[in-house]
Amino acid sequence: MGHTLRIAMSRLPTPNGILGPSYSLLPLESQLLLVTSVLGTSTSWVVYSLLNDAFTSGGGGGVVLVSFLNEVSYFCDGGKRHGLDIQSHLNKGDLIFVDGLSRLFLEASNSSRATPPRMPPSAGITPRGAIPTRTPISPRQQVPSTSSSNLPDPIRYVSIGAAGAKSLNVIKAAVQSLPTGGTRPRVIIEGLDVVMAAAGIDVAAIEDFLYELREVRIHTIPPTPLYYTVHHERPMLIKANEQITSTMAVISPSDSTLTHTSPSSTPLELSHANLLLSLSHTADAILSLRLLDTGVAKDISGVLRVTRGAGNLWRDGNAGVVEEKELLYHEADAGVRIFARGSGGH
Amino acid sequence: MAPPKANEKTVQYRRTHNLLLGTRLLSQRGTPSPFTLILDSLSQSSIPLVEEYIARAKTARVNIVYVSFTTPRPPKDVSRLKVIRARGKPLDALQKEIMATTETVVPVEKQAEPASTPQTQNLVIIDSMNHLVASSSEGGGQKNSMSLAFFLSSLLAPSISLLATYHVDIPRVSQPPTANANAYAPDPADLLKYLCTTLITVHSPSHIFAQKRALDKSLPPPRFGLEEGIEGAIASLGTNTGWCDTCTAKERSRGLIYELEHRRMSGRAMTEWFFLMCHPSKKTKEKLILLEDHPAYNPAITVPAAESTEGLDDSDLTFSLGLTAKQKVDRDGVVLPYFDAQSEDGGTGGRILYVPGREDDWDDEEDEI
Repeated sequence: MGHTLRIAMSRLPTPNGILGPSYSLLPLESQLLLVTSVLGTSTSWVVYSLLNDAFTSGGGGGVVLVSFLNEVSYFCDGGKRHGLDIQSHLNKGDLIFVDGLSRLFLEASNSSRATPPRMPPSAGITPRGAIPTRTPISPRQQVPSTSSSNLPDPIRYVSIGAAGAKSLNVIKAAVQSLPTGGTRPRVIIEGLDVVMAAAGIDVAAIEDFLYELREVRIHTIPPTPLYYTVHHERPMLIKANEQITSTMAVISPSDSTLTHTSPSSTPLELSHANLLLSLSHTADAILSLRLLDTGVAKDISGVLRVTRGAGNLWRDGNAGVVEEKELLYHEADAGVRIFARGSGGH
Repeated sequence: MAPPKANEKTVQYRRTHNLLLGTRLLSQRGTPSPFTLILDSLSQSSIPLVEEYIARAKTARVNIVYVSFTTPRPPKDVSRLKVIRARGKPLDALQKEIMATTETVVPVEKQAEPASTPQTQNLVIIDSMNHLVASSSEGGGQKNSMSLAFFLSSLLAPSISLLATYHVDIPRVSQPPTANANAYAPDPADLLKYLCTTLITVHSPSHIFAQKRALDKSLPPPRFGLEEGIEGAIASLGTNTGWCDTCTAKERSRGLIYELEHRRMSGRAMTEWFFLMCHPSKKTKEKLILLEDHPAYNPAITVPAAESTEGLDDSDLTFSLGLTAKQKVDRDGVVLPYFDAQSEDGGTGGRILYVPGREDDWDDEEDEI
């Protein structure tokens, strides 16, 4: 098992492989990576790649994975194919999954533990655009939680009730409850546009929330200056009064119908383009997945383009530089391979 | 506006006058522009230019106030820089905070001797006007929020200059029109462009050069960024990369091209395209040059006159214009009549030999040979 695990893991491209060797030198605080995709390309392997990097790079920093599109079982199954045992990390407590799909329109339960609500969603809290309440939504398969009581809940739920944008604070609480080993917490958010489109939350509120999330303060900061070696080449000095801020990856679709707007566009179209472009203006790197321009190919899944974002331009000491590049990638059962154009993937 | 064509006639004038004005505006010398608006896009961020402003303001000992809406990591190494977190604050509170941070008030006892303490200059930097617009009354902010024009004019004082960035490609989410909204009011972006005294549009050097190369061959210029026409690509290659042959990738990205429109108090406007290099030029010790003086934009500028005949391009001629080595030696050996006249003792070749004939009316006093 351990052998196959290692082989499978090595087939997942690392963020270093995608973003260049200086990825590990990018500023640790408030880093923002924007991953965009179009219809037909899947960003899941990027999620696994980021998770894999977080778990293997050492340092013990935790990860919060937020998805408004998929449940935890989706990531568990997919991770298994890439040799990533998500369930064990959930049990260990260094991964918290925030489920924004299963109970988005259900009433928030006081304890976010595994007692799924049985009642149908009341019509009073259904926001505009919500699914009509015909039948009680049966709770999906629950992953058995084996965590002991002192560990944070590995799975949390977002429910948009009367609280509106405040209900996203579950994510912030999840980040704060991560064990801090001196490393920055990492947050991966997928499908924020669902919150905007289905739950009707204002784009400004979402932007404010993301901005706050990048500056979440962790309470267990050691009182004296300490050196932590997170990576071999990544020494990190944490001053007593400095905030440890989270590193965030936001995954969002960027189809042209969602980014190209005109004055006659609907508010939702404008909001989506506004969110995506505002994020790209502050991102350190933009990683966009798209289909091959020339059509479908058997051994190429799509094109991966990395461009340097404005957030990477500040003259921050010895911060690394994102290298812009355009590569092809192929996603197969055996793993994901990225290769240069013309190298044929052999 | 498209980048200018290289113009030999006016470049000399602009090299002295416009470049001087551009440097003065960048260094905040003399009377700085009260309100500089930078328009940027995903293809090129305004950050390198803002950093250049900060670096020059630092040497000029200007008090810098950085109003941050979207920047989580404002520059830290600047000692005289104050950061205001502006997100979520109403405009009137923000305005009060900015005014409190700027050093405008000269204490009363010092006012008696005005010559001894010159008033401190303040540079207020706003990193995203889009967010400021969204919280103003024009942009559909909360009820009874301050209007944009009022907010900006309340900041204006002789000792304050404002440097604000507006991201042109972020669409504004328009709120449903309220009863008191003026349907005939201009778009906030247009209002900002009208109010500012200096309007800067930044461009990515590699994109401008690619467009110039295409235009030089009469090809349609390529499009970049959201206009690139590739599904799913929001930023093109060449974004925020700068342009330099010698620097590393990190240093190189400090370079950018910008178009500057400065409106003087008289109403006359000056428009010029500049290239902000990542390192000072060896000759002028200045980072700012005219776009036309950059060799990548205008290749003719680097070729000195002596070399231009040497590398004559005759690849498309059917005969050879050049000389072989033997032909050159033979040509050098030819003795021409006037060579004799140029020798040390005058020689004999230069004299006019004329024998007066019978029909000549020879006058000894006047004529001589």
